[in-house]
Amino acid sequence: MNKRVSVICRAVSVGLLTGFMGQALAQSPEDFVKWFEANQSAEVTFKEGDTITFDDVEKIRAFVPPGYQDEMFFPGMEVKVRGQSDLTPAAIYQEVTERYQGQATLDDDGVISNYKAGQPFDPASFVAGDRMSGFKAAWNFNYRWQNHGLDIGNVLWVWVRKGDSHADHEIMSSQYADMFQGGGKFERVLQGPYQRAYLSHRADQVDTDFKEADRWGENTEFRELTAFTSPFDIGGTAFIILRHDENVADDAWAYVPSLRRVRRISAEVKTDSLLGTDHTLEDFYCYAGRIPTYDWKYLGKARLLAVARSRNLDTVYYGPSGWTPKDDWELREVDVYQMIPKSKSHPYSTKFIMSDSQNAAPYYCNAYDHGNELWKVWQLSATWTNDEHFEGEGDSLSAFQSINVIDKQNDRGTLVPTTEVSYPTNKISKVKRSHDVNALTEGR
Amino acid sequence: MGVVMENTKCDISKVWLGLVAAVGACFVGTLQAEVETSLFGGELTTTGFVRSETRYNMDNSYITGSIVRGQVEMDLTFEDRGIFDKLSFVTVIRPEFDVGYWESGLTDHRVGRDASNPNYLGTDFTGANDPIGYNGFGAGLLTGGLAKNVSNGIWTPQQLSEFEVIAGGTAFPLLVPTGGQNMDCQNCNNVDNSQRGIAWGNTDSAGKLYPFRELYVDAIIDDWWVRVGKQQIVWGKTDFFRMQDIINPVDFGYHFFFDSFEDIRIPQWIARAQYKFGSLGFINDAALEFVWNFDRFQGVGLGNPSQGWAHPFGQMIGTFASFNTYFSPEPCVSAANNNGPGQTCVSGDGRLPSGFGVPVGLSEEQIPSHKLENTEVGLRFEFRLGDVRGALSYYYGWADTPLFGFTSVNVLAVAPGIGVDPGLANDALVGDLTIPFTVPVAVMDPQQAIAAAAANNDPGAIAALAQDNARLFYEQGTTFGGQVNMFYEQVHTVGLSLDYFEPVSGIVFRIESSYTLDEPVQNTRQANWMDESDVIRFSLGMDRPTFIPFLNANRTFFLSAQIFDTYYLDHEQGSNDGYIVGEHNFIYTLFAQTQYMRDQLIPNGFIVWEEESDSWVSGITAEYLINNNWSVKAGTYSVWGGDRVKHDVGPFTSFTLDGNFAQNSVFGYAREGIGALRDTDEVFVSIRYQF
Repeated sequence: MNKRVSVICRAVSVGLLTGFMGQALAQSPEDFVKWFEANQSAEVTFKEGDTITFDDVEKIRAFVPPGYQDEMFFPGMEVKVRGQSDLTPAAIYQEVTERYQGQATLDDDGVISNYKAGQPFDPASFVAGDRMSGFKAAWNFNYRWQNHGLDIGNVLWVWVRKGDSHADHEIMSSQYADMFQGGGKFERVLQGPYQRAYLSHRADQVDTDFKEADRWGENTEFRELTAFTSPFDIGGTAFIILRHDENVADDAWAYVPSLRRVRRISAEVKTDSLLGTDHTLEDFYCYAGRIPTYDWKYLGKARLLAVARSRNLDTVYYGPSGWTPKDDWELREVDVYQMIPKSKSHPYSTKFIMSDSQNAAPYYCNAYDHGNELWKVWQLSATWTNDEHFEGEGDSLSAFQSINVIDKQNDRGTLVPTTEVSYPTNKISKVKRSHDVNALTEGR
Repeated sequence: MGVVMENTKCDISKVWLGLVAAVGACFVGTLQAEVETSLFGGELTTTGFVRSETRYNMDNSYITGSIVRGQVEMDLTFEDRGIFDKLSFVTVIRPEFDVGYWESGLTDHRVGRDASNPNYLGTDFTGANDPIGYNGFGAGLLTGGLAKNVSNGIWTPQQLSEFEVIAGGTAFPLLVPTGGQNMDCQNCNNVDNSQRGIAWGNTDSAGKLYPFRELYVDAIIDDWWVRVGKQQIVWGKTDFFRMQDIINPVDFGYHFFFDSFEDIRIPQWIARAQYKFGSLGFINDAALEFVWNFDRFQGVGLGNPSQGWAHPFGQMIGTFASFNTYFSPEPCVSAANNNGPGQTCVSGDGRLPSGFGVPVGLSEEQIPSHKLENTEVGLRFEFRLGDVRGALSYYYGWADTPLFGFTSVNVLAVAPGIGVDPGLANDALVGDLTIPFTVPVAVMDPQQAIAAAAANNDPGAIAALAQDNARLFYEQGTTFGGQVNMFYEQVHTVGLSLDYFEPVSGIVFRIESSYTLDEPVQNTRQANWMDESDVIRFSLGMDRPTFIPFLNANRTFFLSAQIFDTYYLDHEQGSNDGYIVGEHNFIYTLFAQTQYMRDQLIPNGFIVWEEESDSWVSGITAEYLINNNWSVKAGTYSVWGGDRVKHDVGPFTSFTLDGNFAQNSVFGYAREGIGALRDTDEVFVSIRYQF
């Protein structure tokens, strides 16, 4: 009994402290920077094989971004620490990087020129607090190794409300039930496939100047298809985004089933909520917009606990709100850089992005509203394609597994776990079949 | 005030009664969530919904419909089978039942199979508001007028209540059948559907395979995409209007344009094949599509006159069909009134006491026969040129809006200088069988009639020929109506559409245009009222998602504005004659939508202004997605503005009580444009379960 009281008292005190710290230290961009500075000198007191429980959270607090700590630390938590992995990108990407790194240049607006393929800028040259280093970090992130691009058979978009339960939601009687082991009330679940296909700056296309030879892919960085198959009211909706390989606005089209036609959509939509989720189209991968449309700043390197090499094929969630991955966590060195919108109409005042220093895989990002209050925190889980349990294509890739956003101001979140993930080597004919704007017409 | 309150309460209770009745039907059977199963090695996906919607007319305080709709969509897909990269068999099955139509009491007997009260456009049929329709040319005469069918014992008095009068109180009131009556109107679309069929939504506009709304095979073979079967094809880029989107007709009689076109478009049996070139020269995302619509011709749906949302033109079709049914027959009398041999009505002989004995009204809708040369073909080339995406299209098919044309007119044949020569008389307008009184008429082709009248020195006919304006002949009142048919013609339409995103303003610009050669148009200056004109249709649309933080901090408003113009290049029109539409018809639309509560609450609103008629339509709706299965939607639509407009009645001048050639009846309503529906303000609520 006494032990139980003791645990409860500690839980309450830690909770209060966490809450206090959350309120006092992690609610503004300045607080994030303070946490970042503290991370630099934080001592690692855990080791591979440890399981961190709620009693030991202070061991890892400095290695979890502010805002996310509240979600990761809860009575019953189990953070299994795995050893640091070598997540070096594929050899072909490294070879091209060695050959061309340093040739790319940036103008004052951050527009890139003379870039071929591989990692465009040497991270060793980045200077903390420097604007241009921020652009360079963002470009390195943009051009990270992704083979021909991510292909997901089914993306689940799960609306979660903090607390309560989702036991009675229909998803719990589906094949996906085992993924959702925690609490949280599920308000709505969308499903559908996704594919991004890169058409230029591809490390494998040495003979064709790193581009797809087909003229269909000319001047195109990538085409991206996001589709929804259910529920009925949204089923059939599909978006195609075309990112040009020059500094011009993206082109975007949507197939709207109730209109049965393809509709051109404004690129402005990319900063709006995507179909009511807590994500925007630009929040994919933490950041999926055009680099020069924002200002950037490089903060430096940090060490973070991240799901960099999931033990599961698909994300498994647990915790009181069901939005924390139940997985192995690995201490990774990350680059931390800040995105600053130029437009006042952008919903965020700023966003911090934390991506792996070895392969630029994103793990966390924090976004703030125009009152400089922490608004959303994202956590991303990755798998390593060379691991046995990974079923898709992809060589030495940090593969996208899930992106989970928590709206701190509204006690809600959107989980986006994925299944049937792959980084295939595409045939251009197959990509054309699905990513040509006219293919949207085939919708129902 | 107390009475008003009581009535309101009563009406609201009826709304709920309809709703409860309809929702109750939702629970018939067990509904499963979306089902995905393996079948023949493919994947079968089944989705759909059950929805109950109740609509209430606020202007006249009655329920216009309480419709339970089920929709099941099944898709059996095979990947990589034989030569096919993908092969799918798809069907959309959509049965529905209008509880309000079937149980007319729910609609205060304004709508439905037993409707005895007037719909939104009319008033109760009485001798006072339509004396010719009621008594013929005089109460003392024993032929003509529907009341004679009662006084001669052919009808029960109750049958007179199955009519309403539109344009009541004017000099040319018109009868419209209210309940689902059988009309003598050959091939007439949606006129003679059974009451049960209408209640089930199985009208002519539903096509042949009801409740199969769509049924097609989809195949992808390399860069080819082929779809064959009953389907919808959408070529346009404009909301609310159809320019390139002309392959499938639309059923405007179901719920005007308030339901999405997807729901009111009439699927057709079509083969389409698209080849994706990818890049082609300096253009990209290029594709060429060939379409062959081999279905039997189907015109736009204007509704059965007994339906709650029958378009005014649909009601007009009912009027003309009833003219032909009740006034064209040779007159007869009951045995009690018999005044001579052969004058007594005999069951089944086609005669009625209400008949005038000359052909008047709508006798046939001349539907193009189903043969190869009447099928429709089209081509569409889509492309992306830099930041502009466009489409060029060509379609050769039938203009799907009917044209009323006189096949014959009844011309006085009594004396030189009045109508045609008496020697040409071949029929007689019968006024009275008890006191033999007939007016000799010649039933003639309209153009020949004017020529013959001119030869008989009829001054109006001479002027009509000289000025190429048939109205100058008809306005004299020397004709007793005529027989009309509805016609369709094949036309060539070319179209161009473009869309472009302008990054500085954040606006998407949409342009859509079409040019139709020799489109059939209604022109009352022509002897048969039919004419042709080249027509240009053009629209400019602008879409912009815009943050309006004080209204919605988290989501943009989707704002969309459109300007739409129809330009008749060969237009001619007087103050009350000629074309029934203006040379230009500009329509402006504004639409806004946003989302609250993580897109679970979706309010939107629109407003439309038609310049020509100075009339407006607006709507506000809100849908709440309760969870993945249940949703509720409610809203209101309003139509206002415009004035009652008069237009030429042509050969029917002698039927007007003031002998004036211009009346509100017939094409006055058409000229009112959207304003003709001004008495249809509506509130609706629907509940949907999707799976």
